[in-house]
Amino acid sequence: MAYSEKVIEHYQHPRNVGTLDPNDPNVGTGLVGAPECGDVMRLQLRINPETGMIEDAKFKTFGCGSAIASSSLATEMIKGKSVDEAYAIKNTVIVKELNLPPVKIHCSVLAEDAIKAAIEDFKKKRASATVEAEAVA
Amino acid sequence: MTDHFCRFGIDRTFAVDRERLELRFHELQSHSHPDRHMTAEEARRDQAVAESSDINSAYRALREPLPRARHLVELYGFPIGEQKSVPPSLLMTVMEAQEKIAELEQAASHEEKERIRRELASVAKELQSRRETLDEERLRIAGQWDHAKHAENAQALSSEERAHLDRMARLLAERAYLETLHWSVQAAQQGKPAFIQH
Repeated sequence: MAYSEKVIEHYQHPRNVGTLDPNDPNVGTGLVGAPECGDVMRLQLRINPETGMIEDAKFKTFGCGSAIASSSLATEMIKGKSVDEAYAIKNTVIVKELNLPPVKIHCSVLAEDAIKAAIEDFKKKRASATVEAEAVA
Repeated sequence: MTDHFCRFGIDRTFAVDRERLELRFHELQSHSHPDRHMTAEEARRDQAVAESSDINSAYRALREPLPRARHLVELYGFPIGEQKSVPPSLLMTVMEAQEKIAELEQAASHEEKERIRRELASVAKELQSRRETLDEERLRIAGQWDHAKHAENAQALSSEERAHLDRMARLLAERAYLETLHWSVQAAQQGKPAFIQH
């Protein structure tokens, strides 16, 4: 199967590879996987609590070229967006942008799930921080 | 989806009598093997080739416990490939193992390599114990399922029966995940490049 040029480009020069401190209260971590192909993907984002904007995003993916490209593109797309905008991103945008063939659509789904998981992790952290703050007050 | 159990004329159970299965395989093949139809007309010969190939696929699907279990749950509409709800602790183990493998590939000094190899060995141990736990549960569910008669029509299954198959599908997906990782860890420990098949 031939990869599209865009997939190869992201695969060879992945954007935003790395990690953010998972203990930072403003960092949300999404860890997702695809048992069938053995892929695992971690996507992290740092959110400005005042503005609700995503200031930074990092990823680490072990898997095929499409999975790496999908998560690389996902980090590019969500940087500078609001949490709600990022949460609304659909995998079909990634499919279109990377020109993924039908057998690789699940890679884009994984990236969408990772964004959502990271945002949910951030929201959960914020909620528990608020509860603690109220308990102190 | 082709029902391979039906092809072999056996019940849909997780455990099968391997000897009986093999006998049945030879029996079926002896009827349809292309060599037996050398002198037949072309249409009949083509049919024999197709049949023979179907029987081989069925045998491959039924011979080993894991592919057989997979075929059984998929027949009832629980596709393993679409299982996504992996326990977070398993995802963390997979990530940790993959990061260690990547670290090992990049390690410069002999000492560093040795240290990472030792860490990988302990990851491998954890993977092994997870596989054993999964297999115990798999055998338990398989035993419960095989103990009773079940409808072949998925719609006719009770909610309890569906829950059993659903749990089995999840177990098999996790099992496949661990299997892939196990081979990657082994390859890394032996100094071979990580290998993920897609």
